[in-house]
Amino acid sequence: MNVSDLNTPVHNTWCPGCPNFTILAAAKQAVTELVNSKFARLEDFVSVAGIGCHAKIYDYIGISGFYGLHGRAVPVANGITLGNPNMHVLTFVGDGDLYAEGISHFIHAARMNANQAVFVHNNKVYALTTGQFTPTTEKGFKCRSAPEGNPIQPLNPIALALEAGATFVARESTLDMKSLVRTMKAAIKHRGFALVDILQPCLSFHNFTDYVSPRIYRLKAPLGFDDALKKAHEWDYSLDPKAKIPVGVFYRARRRTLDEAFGAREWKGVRRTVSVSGWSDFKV
Amino acid sequence: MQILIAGEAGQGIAKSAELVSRDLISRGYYVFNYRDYGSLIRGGENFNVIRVESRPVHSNNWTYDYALIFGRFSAHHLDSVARGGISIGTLDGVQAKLSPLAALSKLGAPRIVENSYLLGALYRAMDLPLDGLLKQMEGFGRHASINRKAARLGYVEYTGPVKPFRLRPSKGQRYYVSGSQAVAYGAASSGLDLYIAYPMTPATPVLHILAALQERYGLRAVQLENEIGVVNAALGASFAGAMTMVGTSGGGYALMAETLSLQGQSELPLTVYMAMRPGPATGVPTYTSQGDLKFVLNAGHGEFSKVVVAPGDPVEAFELTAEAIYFAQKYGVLSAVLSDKHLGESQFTVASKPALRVKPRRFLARSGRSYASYRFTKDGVSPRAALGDAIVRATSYEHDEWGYTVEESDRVNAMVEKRLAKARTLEKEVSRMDTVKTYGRGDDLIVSWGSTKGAILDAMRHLRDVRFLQVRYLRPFPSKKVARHIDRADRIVVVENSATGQIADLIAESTGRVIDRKILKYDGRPFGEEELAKQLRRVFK
Repeated sequence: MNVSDLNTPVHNTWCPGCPNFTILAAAKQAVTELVNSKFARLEDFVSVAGIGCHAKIYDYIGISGFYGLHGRAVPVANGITLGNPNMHVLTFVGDGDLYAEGISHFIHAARMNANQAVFVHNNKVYALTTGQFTPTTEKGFKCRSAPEGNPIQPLNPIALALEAGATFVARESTLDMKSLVRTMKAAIKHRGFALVDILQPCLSFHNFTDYVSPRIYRLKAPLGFDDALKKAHEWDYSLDPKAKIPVGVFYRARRRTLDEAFGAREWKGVRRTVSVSGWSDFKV
Repeated sequence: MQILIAGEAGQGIAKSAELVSRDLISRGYYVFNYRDYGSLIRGGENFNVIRVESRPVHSNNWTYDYALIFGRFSAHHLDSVARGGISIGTLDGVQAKLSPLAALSKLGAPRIVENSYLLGALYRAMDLPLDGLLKQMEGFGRHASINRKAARLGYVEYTGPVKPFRLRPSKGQRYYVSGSQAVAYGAASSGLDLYIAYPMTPATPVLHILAALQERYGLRAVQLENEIGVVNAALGASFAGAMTMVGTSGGGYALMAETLSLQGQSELPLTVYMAMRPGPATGVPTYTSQGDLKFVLNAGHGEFSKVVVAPGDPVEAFELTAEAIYFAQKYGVLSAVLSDKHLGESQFTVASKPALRVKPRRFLARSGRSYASYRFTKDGVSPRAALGDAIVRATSYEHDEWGYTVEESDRVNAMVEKRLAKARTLEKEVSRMDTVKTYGRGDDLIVSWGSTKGAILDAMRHLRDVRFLQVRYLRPFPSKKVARHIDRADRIVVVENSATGQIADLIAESTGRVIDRKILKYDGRPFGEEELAKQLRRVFK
């Protein structure tokens, strides 16, 4: 199978040069390599998307897909794992999508260890609605909804994911596609809740390439929980000039998944008989 | 004939009522058991009203032939003891004041078996042999012995008034079942794979019952983080090929509303058990209402078809749950089983079994690798393939046959019209179901739906020349059938457990017929037989 087999006939409407193209290319590359290495059949992958610029990826990648609602991609993915635990779920979300509208689902899916790879297209801005601040936007960011600058401090999703119980926590950026593919593949292969927060500058509304690029350094190997949390706190998603930005896999562990906990099966193969015989339970 | 058992939450009121009900049914009587409880676990009142008759009975009255009253909060019932009735218990003001705790200390029995002592006294007051009640206590396991001792002691120590229990029993198989049990068994018996829910009164019992049935039926009951998480997960599971149902009450349904709309666009099968209670907002959370009718008919932005069924008793709850699941799976629509606290938590005696008119199944198509999930067909129903069997798509955006996003006018029209064609096909099949039922003969007509059925059937015994039209499918609305009944009727009245009589508006909207007379009740309590009969007599005098 070639990467081009995952092309679709849909016209792409991302801005020219948008780093979303990098995430799309990386996702296609990851799926192609996983199919070719016989990790799974093409039919075993499914994308779930929220709403926002990121979510257009549903139309652009030729695997099964569920184009959901803003903030609700993660619970749809939870349901897919409960409906058929053999599926490999790639959950594509934005920073507004996951960390604002859908943050409760994010925390609970991490806690429940729902088996999905969550790829956050984190451009630290609402782009499709023309540039308002999100929960990961730095304080002071000037936009039309906050002309004097974003008055609120950002959220640290890496630390939150760790505290909430995610069993695979990583950060990547669109500046390094090779590493992005590698981490995406690892996240998909991981059985459990995997978060990959992908720093993705927005060329139209929030280009933070010059801040991130010189500060990035790569983590060597996954760390223990306490060290991972310490590394997570090295950068608070602000524009602190002294910060260093670690990327790579922070933490990885194995724990019972949501579908395992509830004994889910591939239900579509289960044969059922329809009968009213249970009514005899109410005999007096 | 009516028995009241009233006491404090935590004193085993509901359990006591169940023991008495089961014993009386096994003696050949019909029992209707109404359960009343507040939004509390301890520190307030619970009571049950056990209506007992020789004939089928589906409602209760609010006066009592025997009143067993204990606990600190139940003195207000003393005014409701019928003339010639007997009140016994631990309160001042009852005819036979008992001291169970003093008696129990002789047995070395704990305070919690106080209710068994009092039930023993009640049986003596009713002049009923105790053996059947003692048999019902088998289910107490290792606590059976001490409860039986307490009941025997209560029976022999009772010296108060005795009024023999005079009703003629009859033979035949009887079933004792609540609406919640019937919905849960109807779903499990239809081949449900997943029931996903967040606890909310009065829908929670269905979650509990299905959780207890998991192994036997090979299904899973899954509790998730909130109603939004629940309903999105349900659509995800449905996409993966699982037969899925969710359950909630009004507030939870409101949270689900955005995703119900997603169901309409994605065409993934989804069935919702929706058990009403009085609103707005938290309202009166442990009581009953039919006030969410219009909300359920209209919830979800945009235009899309749904099926809404409203059972009026447990047999219908079982059957209509199966029909709701069938239509959701076959047509990829939202189907709602609209119930309420009264139907869900009251217990009924029935003499028949449900009969299924449809056979729910997954309706999945086998396919090659690439698959048009929204294929244009003559009847508007696109054969559905499950995730894992093909490359399939489901989407919240308007889309083409392949599930790709579209915005061009002709392509938007094409898919909207496909869904309209599906709605027409669905409507045709639904019209062949028992969408309405009628009871009795006469020129005057009662129109109602859902849990008021029981009180209406009982109240009709007091009236002549009255017909009752029960609407069982509220979407698609059986306009022609309803209009025909209205046009044939002389005087017409709507009966509804709500403040505005919403079905009258629905009928006006669907048939152009306006019904002005309404009998409404909106205090959270169901209609009683005599109370409703009195109001019907006034309307039809």
